[in-house]
Amino acid sequence: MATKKPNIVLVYVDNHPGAVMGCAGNAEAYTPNLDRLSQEGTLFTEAYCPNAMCSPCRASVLTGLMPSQHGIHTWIDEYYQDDWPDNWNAIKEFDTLPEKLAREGYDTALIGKYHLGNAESATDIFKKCVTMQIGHVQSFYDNDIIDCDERYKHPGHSVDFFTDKAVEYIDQCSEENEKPFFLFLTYPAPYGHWPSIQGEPANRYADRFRGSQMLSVPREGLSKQAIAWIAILNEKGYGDEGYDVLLQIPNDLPSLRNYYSQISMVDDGVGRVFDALENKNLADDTLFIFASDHGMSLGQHGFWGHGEDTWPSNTHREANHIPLIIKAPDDRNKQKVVDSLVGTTDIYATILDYAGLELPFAKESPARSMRPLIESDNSVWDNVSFMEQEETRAIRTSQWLFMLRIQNTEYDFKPELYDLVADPGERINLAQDPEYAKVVAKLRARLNEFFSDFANPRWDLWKGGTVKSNSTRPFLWQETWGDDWAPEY
Amino acid sequence: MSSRKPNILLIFVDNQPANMMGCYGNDEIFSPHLDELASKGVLFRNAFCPNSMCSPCRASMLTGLMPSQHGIHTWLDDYLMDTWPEGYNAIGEFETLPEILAEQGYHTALIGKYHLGFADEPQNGFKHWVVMEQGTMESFYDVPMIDNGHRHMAPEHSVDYFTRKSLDYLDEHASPNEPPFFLCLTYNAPYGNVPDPDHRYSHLYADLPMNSVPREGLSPELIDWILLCKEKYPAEDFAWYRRLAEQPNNLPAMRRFYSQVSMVDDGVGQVLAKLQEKGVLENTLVIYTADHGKSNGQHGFWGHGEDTWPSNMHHSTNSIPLLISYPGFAQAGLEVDNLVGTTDIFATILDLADCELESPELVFGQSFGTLLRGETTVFRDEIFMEQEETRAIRTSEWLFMKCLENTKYGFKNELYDLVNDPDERRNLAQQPDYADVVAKLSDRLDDFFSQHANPRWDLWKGGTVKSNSTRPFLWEEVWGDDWKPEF
Repeated sequence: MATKKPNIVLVYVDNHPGAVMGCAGNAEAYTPNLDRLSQEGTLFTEAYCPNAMCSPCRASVLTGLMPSQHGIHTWIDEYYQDDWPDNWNAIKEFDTLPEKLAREGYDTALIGKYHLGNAESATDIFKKCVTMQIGHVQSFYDNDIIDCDERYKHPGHSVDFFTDKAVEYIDQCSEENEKPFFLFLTYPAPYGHWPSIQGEPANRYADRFRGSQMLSVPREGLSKQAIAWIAILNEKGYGDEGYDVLLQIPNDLPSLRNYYSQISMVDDGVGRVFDALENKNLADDTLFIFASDHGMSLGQHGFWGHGEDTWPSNTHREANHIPLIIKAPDDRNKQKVVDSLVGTTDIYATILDYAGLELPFAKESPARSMRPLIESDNSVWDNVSFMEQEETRAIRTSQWLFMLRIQNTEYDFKPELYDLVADPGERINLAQDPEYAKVVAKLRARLNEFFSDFANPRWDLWKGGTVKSNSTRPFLWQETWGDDWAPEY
Repeated sequence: MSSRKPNILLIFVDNQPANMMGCYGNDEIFSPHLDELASKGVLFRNAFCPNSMCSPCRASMLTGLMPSQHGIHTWLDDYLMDTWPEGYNAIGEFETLPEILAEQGYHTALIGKYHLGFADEPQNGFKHWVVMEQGTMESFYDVPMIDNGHRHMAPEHSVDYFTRKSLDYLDEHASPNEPPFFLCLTYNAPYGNVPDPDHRYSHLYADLPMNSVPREGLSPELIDWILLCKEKYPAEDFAWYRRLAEQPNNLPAMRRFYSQVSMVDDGVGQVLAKLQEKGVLENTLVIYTADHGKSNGQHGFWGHGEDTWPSNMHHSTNSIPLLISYPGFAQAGLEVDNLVGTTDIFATILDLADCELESPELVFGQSFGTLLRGETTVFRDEIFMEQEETRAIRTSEWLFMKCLENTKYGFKNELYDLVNDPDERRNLAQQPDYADVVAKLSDRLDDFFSQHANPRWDLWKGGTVKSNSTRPFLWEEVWGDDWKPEF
């Protein structure tokens, strides 16, 4: 390894569950490059995000903080952008990963979707930005691009566009050969929502999925909670916002095929970026990480999409399980598979660790460097991951998934407990079974202790706090904390 | 076939689309007796009901009339019994099939579900009367029954109960030396997803992939319907409507529904064996059909045509199985493609029993006796259906659904080219190229209902319904706040 600090490439994709990769055992997914990457590095089979929405997870990976610390509890909705402060950047008050790295001499680049406020503000924390003007993906084509000083519409597929830009950036850094670089490559795909994945696929992987039965996504009816969510949105006056398509997508085979084809597009991009590093002989000097902001239910547990798309919200595996492959800047971790429970904020700490920066204090951030897991086979690791989705908070261990719900509401939300050893599909809720009262009490205590450490009262929804920009259930928070409850910035 | 009038066994089951039987090409259903019945008789590939709810189709079967003539537009809601007139019989004013047959010397029996008013006493010319107290089904077990005046709970699966009661009835009345019988056996199955414990055929369905119901997502029309129900009806009713969205693609629910066909098939086998044993099979007209079809998720909804907004008449909800055996008359193994309907079954029974109606002009029904014999004959190529705000004409070429216009909902008509799009997926009604087709079909539809509707029960012309509608708010919006059901 060169004396220079390692380059860092974090490919951070949009709504890709950890199970939909060939190397994760999914025979229908076509991901030869991710499979190759897993052979070159370490595949983490139990990686979870702290929230199942786009903006909160992006904030967590860049700050090492939980949503109740950074204040972003759901996707930042550009519908409200007129209310945003000028050139609003939702994580500006934090010392973010790219800023820390820049101070250590890194060149930093955002190539892809930002979705943490006004996209123009990404330059506050990244030196170079090629991004999209809006975070809410409507199509993979014809996107409005911010490319450094230029503004234009790009007609082609956005994955190909950002891949080209990333390869260009790598080539340029290699030529300049001055500074190590941090490339945050945030593809706005596979995404998984209509209209972007509606209908049979039309991209270059379409043929591969034509007529596919999509058996890797088991056929399953809708859940009560998924229907209840659409019903309450309708009741509270959000009926015209198009959420009801969430009930139409599950089991729609054209959409599933389209979604899988977008994963292949992303895979293709990852392959080209990795090839670019190899072509420039940079692969061995680079920490290369592939991850997703969050998972995505493709109908599993009877809902489509995000953990917040049920009433109450949930943190089932499909919504919060992310793919995570790390190729460290040497080849000691080839073909390694790690099943320790790790999380998004751990990606933050791992990058700091490889860049030779100080790790956050244990009481400031839950982030833990995964370097010991990558470099050693017998490191001590606490198998636990914490998640929060507004009214639901959860702890996942190797044995249990426990979802706790806020209690002081009129909805009588119930907690859920799953025995992940006996019931890995998370189907049998044991939380109301008296035999499990002790387990519930212990997990509840751990969960409460965690959030007493990792929540800022200002952004702690369970203690009268608020959210940045918007919540998807403002009515709940107004009912709970009073009519003057309102988002802040 | 002897010169005496035939015995008639009309097996009229509950919520079974034609595609839920082996003999209709479904290889996931175990229905050996029905398949054998088809091989010994005639199978109709294109039979349709006039409405896809239970009570209207039962009324149409027994009177030969359309819903807008007899006034029953949806299921009679048992929860409203307290509001019904004393001894209410929803088709009491009409000449009915059992009455006509009884006059001709038939011994008449209803064994099964009635669902056309109070079931306490025999109605409509039936003499022998073994029925469920109510029309609504919550379980196949412990169902309250009325057996010729004797009230009790049927301990066994109610399909087995009705089979047993039919065998007892045939033991007593089926004989070449007795008067002919008309047994109307109205099983309360397959019905749908009833969350009962497993029965003796459940294991056949335990791991079925259910590939015979293609996987597809929910339709916006179903979602609109359940959200509208949430808005319009009491909060506690939503749990019921919500199930309409939970059941499509729910494999255990779909398998439970399928498995009930085997229970019915078992009963049919026993009843046919009894006819054989009693020496009357050769002189019995056996008809197997259903009140209406049911979507198992096809077209993105579950259940009845009225379970979308607006209501629909897609193939899955309005197609019914129709098997007819009549040894010595009907050609064994014949398959008929002609479009026939519930009211044609009514007309055919009267024809084969050599009976006449007092007012035949009211009935849109044509005897298909000639089709049973395999004769090349000209048969009407159209069938009409109605589901409150939607009316439809189906021909061998087209399905045209027309929606009521004077509402605030902006309902869209639908036209499907059944030759090129047999699955009814591409709505052509708004395409200018098809304006002529739409205009012609629309005229035929209007013309039909101008002749086959009683203004009192014609919802499209300010009329009302008997007992209840599933969208009373719509009719109040359209015809004024004082619109209400009558009896």
